[in-house]
Amino acid sequence: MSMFLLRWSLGVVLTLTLIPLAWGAVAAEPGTLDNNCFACHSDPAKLIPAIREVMGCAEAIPASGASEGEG
Amino acid sequence: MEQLAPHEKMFVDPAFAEDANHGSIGCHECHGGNPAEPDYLAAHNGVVRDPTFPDPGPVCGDCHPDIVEKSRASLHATLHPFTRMIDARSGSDSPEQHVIVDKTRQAHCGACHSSCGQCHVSRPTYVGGGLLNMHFFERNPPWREVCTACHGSRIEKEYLGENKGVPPDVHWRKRFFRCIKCHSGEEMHADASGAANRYQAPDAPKCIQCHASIYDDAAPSAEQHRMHKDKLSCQVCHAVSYKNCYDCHFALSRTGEKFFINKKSELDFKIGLNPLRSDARPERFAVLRHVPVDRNSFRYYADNALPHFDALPTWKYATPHNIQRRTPQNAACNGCHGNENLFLLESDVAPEDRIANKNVTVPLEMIPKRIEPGVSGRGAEQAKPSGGSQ
Repeated sequence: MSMFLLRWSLGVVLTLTLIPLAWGAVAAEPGTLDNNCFACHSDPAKLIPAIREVMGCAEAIPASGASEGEG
Repeated sequence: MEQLAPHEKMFVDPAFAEDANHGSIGCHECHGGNPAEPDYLAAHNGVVRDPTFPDPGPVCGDCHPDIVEKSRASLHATLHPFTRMIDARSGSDSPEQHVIVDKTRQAHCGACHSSCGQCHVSRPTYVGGGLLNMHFFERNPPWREVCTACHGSRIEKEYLGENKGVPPDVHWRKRFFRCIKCHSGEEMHADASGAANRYQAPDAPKCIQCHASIYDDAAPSAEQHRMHKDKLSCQVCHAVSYKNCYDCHFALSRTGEKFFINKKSELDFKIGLNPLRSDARPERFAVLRHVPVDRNSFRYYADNALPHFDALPTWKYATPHNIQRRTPQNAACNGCHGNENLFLLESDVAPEDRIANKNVTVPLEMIPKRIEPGVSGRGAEQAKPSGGSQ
């Protein structure tokens, strides 16, 4: 009986420990899935070539001129 | 305002992930897309650049429900007065034509809106967008990148003194006030659905909120302030020349790009009859600014699209942002009294626009009479002709 209780308790503890860990692996916590976003959006060396590819720019990306609102 | 290079617009500081308020929210929870997808093009499928427009509820509403609820109907979100003004001029005689006008308004005027994200995270899309501070949320939006990015050609130039010969606003020159000093978050977020124009929006600033003591005996020029109370708007005495725009037309380029041409804009100063006279704004005279509208503004899309053009004046109540303590018109009584040049007369208005402006032009007999020396004893000396101010 005591062995059964011990195993049961161990099972509960493990379950309660593993569920948050498993959730953390799939949820978009910083440092996990979002790393894929940050990998580019926080690294100009990757971001600039990607933008060039999307924009079809072979060379430097031009910055457009100063703007002026109409208000 | 300098534009950002494309990569600068979307560079995110890795430290943003540690931001106490917003850093723990996954990118895709607001922007969509699929961060698990290794190919960056596939990962961006369904990505929304500004998830706070048109409805900020799903992304901002959980934590900021009150602000979201009000700001859905704010002036910056709805541009509600634009709709009212254009509808009043287009009328409802022809439902087909009204559809064209409405689509044109949405395409051209409607692009000039803002949102939670376009004030607190990025520059407004209308001026090219771009993150303000590497995706950190700015509680107080930086005014040069957000406010005057859109309100540039009139407000910014007036306020900073960038119109030739016109000094900066005293609130900038002496106190370096930023927009938010007068235009609070409460005003920006306020539900303005019941406002016919921006001056009726809740929490709009009024000079008297800071200058409540101007009528006190000890206040400088207290007598003048009392004498003119409820007769003149503050700007009649304290603003100087400001920009007036005429004949704005909008169309599509050969490649389908939207554009507009403003055929004429000039500095001028005109006092007219207050078109918004009410208990809240009881003054008889107010400064008026010519707005860019023209009866043919929509001509590219439809002929005679504004058949009721005369329903509203083209000279509108204005609060130029170039306030001065001393101005040519307040330097002496006769700077204004008897000075016809300051007033919007019928002859100042294009003949075809005189009906539209009949309620705001000043009849000659309403111009305050010149005060002759010795009559009032209140300094009827000649106004100084200088355009300068202190």
